[in-house]
Amino acid sequence: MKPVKSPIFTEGRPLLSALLTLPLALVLALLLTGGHDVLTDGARLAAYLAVLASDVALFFLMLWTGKTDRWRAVLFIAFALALSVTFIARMIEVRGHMSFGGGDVLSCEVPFCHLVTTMVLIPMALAQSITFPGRIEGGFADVSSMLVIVAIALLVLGRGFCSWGCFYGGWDDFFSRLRKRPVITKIPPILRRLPIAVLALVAITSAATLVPTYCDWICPFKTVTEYEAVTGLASFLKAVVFLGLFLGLVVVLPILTRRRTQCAYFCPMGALCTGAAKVNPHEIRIDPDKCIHCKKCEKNCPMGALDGDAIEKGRPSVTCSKCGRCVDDCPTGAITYRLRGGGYSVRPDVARLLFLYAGWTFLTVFSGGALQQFLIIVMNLVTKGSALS
Amino acid sequence: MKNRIFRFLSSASGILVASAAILVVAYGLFSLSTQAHRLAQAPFMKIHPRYSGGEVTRSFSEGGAFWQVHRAVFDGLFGQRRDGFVQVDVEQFFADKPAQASIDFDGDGAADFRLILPANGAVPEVEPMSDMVDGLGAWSRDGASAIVRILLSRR
Ligand code: SF4
Ligand code: SF4
Repeated sequence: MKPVKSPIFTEGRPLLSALLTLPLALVLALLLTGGHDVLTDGARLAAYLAVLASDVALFFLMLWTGKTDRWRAVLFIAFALALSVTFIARMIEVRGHMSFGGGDVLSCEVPFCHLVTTMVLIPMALAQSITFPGRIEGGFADVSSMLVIVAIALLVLGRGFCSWGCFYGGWDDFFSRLRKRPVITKIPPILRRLPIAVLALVAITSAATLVPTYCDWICPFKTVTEYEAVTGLASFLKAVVFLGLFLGLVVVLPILTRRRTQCAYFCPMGALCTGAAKVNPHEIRIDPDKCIHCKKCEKNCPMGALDGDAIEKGRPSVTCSKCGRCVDDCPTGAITYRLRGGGYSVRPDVARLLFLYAGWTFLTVFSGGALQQFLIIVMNLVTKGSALS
Repeated sequence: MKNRIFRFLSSASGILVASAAILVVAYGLFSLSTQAHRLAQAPFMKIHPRYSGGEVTRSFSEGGAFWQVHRAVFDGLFGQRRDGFVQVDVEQFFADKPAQASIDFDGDGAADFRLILPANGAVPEVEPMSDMVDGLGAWSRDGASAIVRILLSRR
């Protein structure tokens, strides 16, 4: 007899879902203020309320519908877009343009993003210093705040950061959803190991040269944040490389493969998160006995983490970002969120709820500032005709 | 019976760890600035001299500007490198008038180079006076302020 997916205990129960959403709503009401007095300024208050309401509503929908990825993706993709718009607006406000020049580097004013962590680890350990022209403390995207955020993400989410935190991931997540069917279907499984090689390469070259090589030469997301001003052949080549990689890995290949190719097959931060996978409490597990081999999960996994081998072993490969799409798609309920170790005996829907509380708190608070700023920019554009006033 | 107790205990420990994770996220993000400030005090939390320019070792007013000379930076990952630089921060008294000074960066009593800042943000000029000095490195000028690095090598 074909196994049947049993409903999640909150599914189709609006009252229970609302009740379980309430504690999160209260926590978010506090955390989304970001330490500002939101009552003093009308635009800020409107942005705060809009972001709070949508974050809470999306969480409620996750509980009520029993679907995870659909609602997660709305916020995750909005975060990527909002971050890029607000980042660029800020750079234009501060510098007058999107590129950074020698002055920003010499005065150590370059924002530190979480990806840089992969390049400063060895110098931090061996030379007791950070090889990056940023600010240790205070100011926009300073080193210490970002390292604390990375530590929390590694500890609690592991590779889940790639679907519940990273402010770049929404770009290839978005493009990977544009086509119904992939044009390229065969991707060699060995490529899942490529991010580990990229991580090793950038960590070693950055330590040897004392230059954050990934940032300096190959980060595709410079296209949607900031980049070195083109002043000569080297900076021109760098611009060609990062633009080409953005178009290839973040736009074209995700459309053709329906996979998040940059995140699954290239990003060194993803590899670092995988390294921390064992210390966080949540994982995705597969019950091979319940599997009817319909291959829905294999076809739809954006990180290419599932195949026959993974199903047989009972767990997805290292690239799994806990996005929840396979859990949503599996017709028999063979794939579930579980708690690691002793917690395996906890009911899967309880394990999912606990993961959602942690993942959603992280994503909403991490994205909260950018989303509110984005709304303020839009309001300024509409009411004053200028984004930056 | 034994099995049920074991199941209960392992479920309880799993739920406890997962609940602690929720607290870590909520408390960690709530107290982000405090945690970041704490982390900033750690011994490895300083910008490498290759980027910060190293400590300022002397400062003086001369030739139409206030000059701050950093220590010479040859720092590598482990030891010292052959190539380095010395950073000079300049605050011109008048941005539309040139400024210049002879600088003795190693404190041996003899000037090592002359640094000239032409008026109105033009490219700085370096006149080497010691064979350690290779010439102008990275620089930036913003109004009356300038940061200039002079390339050095140990021969
Ligand atoms: S979705 Fe995947 S795990 Fe579920 S039945 Fe189909 S092949 Fe098996
Ligand atoms: S295995 Fe499932 S949860 Fe993991 S990335 Fe793939 S679809 Fe998402």
